[in-house]
Amino acid sequence: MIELSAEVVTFLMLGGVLTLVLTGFPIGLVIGSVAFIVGILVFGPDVTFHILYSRLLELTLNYPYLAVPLFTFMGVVLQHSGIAEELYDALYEWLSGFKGGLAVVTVIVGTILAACLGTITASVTILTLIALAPMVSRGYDKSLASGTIVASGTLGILIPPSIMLVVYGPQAGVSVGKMFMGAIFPGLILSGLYITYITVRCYLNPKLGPPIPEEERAKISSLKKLIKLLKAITPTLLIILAVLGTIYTGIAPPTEAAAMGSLAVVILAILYRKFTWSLVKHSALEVFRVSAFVLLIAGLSYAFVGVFMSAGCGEVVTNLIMAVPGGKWGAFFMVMLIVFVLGMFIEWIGIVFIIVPVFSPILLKLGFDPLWAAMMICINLQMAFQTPPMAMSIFVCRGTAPPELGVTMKDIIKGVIPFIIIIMICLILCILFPKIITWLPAKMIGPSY
Amino acid sequence: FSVLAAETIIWKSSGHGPATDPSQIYHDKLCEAITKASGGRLMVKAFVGGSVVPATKEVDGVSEGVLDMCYTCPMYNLDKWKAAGLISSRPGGLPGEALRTWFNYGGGAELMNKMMEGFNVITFPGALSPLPEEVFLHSKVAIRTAADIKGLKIRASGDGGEILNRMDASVVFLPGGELYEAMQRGTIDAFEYSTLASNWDMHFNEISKYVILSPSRAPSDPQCFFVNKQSWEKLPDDLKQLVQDEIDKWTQAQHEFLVYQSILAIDKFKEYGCEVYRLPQEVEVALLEEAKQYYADKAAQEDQIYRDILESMTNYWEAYSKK
Amino acid sequence: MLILKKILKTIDSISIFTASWAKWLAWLLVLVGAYDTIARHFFNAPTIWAYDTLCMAGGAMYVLGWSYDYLCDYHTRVDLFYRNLSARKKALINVLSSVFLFFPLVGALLKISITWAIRAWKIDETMISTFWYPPAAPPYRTVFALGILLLVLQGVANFIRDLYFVIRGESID
Ligand code: NA
Ligand code: NA
Repeated sequence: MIELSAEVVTFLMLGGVLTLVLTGFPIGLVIGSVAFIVGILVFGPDVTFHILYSRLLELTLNYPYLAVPLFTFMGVVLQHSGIAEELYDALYEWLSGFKGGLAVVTVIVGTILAACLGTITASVTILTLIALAPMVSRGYDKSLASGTIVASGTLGILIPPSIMLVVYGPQAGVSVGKMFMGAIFPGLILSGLYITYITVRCYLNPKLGPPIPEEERAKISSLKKLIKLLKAITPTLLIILAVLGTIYTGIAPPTEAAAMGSLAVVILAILYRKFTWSLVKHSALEVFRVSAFVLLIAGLSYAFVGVFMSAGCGEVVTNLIMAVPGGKWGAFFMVMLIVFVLGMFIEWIGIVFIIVPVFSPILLKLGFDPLWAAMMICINLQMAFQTPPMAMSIFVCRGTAPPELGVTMKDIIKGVIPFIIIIMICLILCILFPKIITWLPAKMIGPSY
Repeated sequence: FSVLAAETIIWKSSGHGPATDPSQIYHDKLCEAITKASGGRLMVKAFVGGSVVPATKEVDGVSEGVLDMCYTCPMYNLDKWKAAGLISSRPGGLPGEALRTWFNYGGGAELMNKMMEGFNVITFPGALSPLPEEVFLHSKVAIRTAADIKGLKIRASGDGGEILNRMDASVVFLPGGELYEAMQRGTIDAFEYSTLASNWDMHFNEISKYVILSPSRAPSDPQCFFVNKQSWEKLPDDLKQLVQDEIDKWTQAQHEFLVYQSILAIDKFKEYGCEVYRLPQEVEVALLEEAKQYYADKAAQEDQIYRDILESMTNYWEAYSKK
Repeated sequence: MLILKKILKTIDSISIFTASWAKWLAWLLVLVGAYDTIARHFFNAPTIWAYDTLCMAGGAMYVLGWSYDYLCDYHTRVDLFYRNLSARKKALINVLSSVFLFFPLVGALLKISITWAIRAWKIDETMISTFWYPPAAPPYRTVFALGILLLVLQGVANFIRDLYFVIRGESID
């Protein structure tokens, strides 16, 4: 054991993670190893082993985090059910004639999917599969097309239901139900801002998103179009009812509601005649694979925090943030900046585990409403999915995009930048009008404490 | 110059949190007091529950030497010591003063050390702070007879849950953080949680019309200091005495504070418009009967130490009641 | 070399075999979760076993998936620089990070998870979140240790492959 000041340990741990992830070694294992090495230096092996083991084990048995496999399950089955394609086709009939119309359809479908699903993987995958080819083949700008898909798909983790809110809530001591309510308006505002941005840009420069000429569109009556739309939107409403309805009518708390949602998508897949034995096996394996890597990151981050806090680094960070000039807003800005920077390098679940225990008490001490503060960080984390080098939504989009479309990593990153700016605008709106976040939960559940 | 010599001993101590919980606050105050009173010879660093080891797993941390000391509920150690459930939150168990005097003078601390044999952890007289009795239930419906419990969806943990289950309630388990909304939305009809004062802080007045009082289900949910054996033995005698004195002082202080908070809380619930009433004796008797049977059955299957503690507490209660 | 190849293949197939049955825990989660909700809400017949069962099934599923994900390279990486490296440089990075980051961590986890699994069996540890009090801590801690063991094994296999590639410039398989 070596005597290291808490400041040095803080620097070693945070700096260690941020540099070592760049080697490309799996993120969870980097976080765990840094905790291990620093732990050995500061506390010696016995204590370190115990902190790592007890916390990792504890996390694997956590009830709320069962939402990770269950929401993943919903996403996988929904993806294979054909529900999203029908919705896209129905909206296509209505909007493809406008400049930027296909991108707007993408945002709308992304928003509706977001209300059905709790993860980004499923939403981004589905949107890439159904929306990228139509846009690119109709001459849409590749950046605009892929940026729209990435940003809209990422809404899946802000608009409830959401794994992120389920994981965040209990750690910050904010109810998941309130988090869900609080996320609805910010989510819808983002979606509205995305549509506004796309429309304005495509009207200024129609080359980015040319309207589909009338002769290329199916000629069907408005009534038929309407019926098609209603038919296509019904299953999604049923899924929303199965999850959010289950929660808000008191049938079950959020984790079990995810199980009800899974049951609902299975039933829909059966009705759509897409429920095959291969889907049964595929969904199981996919859930198995995704939850394993997510929970390894979560568990080792949770272990990391054990070492970090025991070594007194929490205090160091608190003092550092409290010392930022500009009073409580200066400190708040610092917190948001740190979340943004961490978001570039570490996956969201690692960030949530590392920052919530450190930042929640600070924000509380500074007098911020806990629900509002939690939601601001979750909106901020929308950017983390889209900022390289660690940009999950971009990875999923790139990995799913049909290669013949020729959409490059560069196209996607370029396309995402305006949407990042829009998220920042949304954050500013929520600072100017905090009721965007707090009004609905107060109305539906009760005041924020 | 400083009296702080090379012999400064550093201890790590954890409460079971959260930071705003009175038990954590008193834990932190105690750590500071020891550091101060020892002139810095023994520096006790206080950690909030869940920061070093997972919350409620503090004793494992102490036993493994990760922590030198902790302040937590004996009940959380039911996973290794079944008898811990007799001391903590036991339906029909000892209420506040009886529990503390049993622990300090009636052989309680010794029995608990015996229970913990084979682990690297000890406790001593003075280390236990009894909390005021827990609320019997926060409920949406009034409970007037034992029959009213039948079919009621009740969230309950521990042996109390099993006993309510035997009384035909539909007992479910949910984490504490989900209770508010589960009640509000009707997922459950009633629940037990902590003491009145901390339940007021959880805003449970807003979601339960009835606050039903009775010491029968959880007469006291004590918190107790546990110390690592080696860390303890390494202390010079005067510091041992100092630690013991300070702990004794602060556990008592917390007890008094919480008793008073409980009294205040009753008024707050009433003022808000909740109906606060005493559980009818009929129901109380039925519950105590069920509990007696349950523990008799259980004692027959458990280790000797389980029977010893049960017997010691039962005898003590008889003597105490006669006083 | 043939024997070495055989060992590597065996380790891979252990991870794959584990995945082939542990993946069904995903369906167990869905069915038990939905069953408990329906039983409680529509039939006023809550189960006391669903809570712990769900937690343990989930936990077992994650833990047993770690080696499979390691085999299939599913653990998320920040591949900003890594992606553009030659296969041999990638293998070198893997070798170095295995030695300095992976093995110390998982080795320690293996050691302590075995210690605690044995301890759990010795003291008959119970799970205490609910009054179901299942005597499930020893089996759970054992599964946890098993998951770590599989991860260590897979780590050894990956390490040998990478080392071979660094030295020979070609794949061992
Ligand atoms: Na969502
Ligand atoms: Na990022």
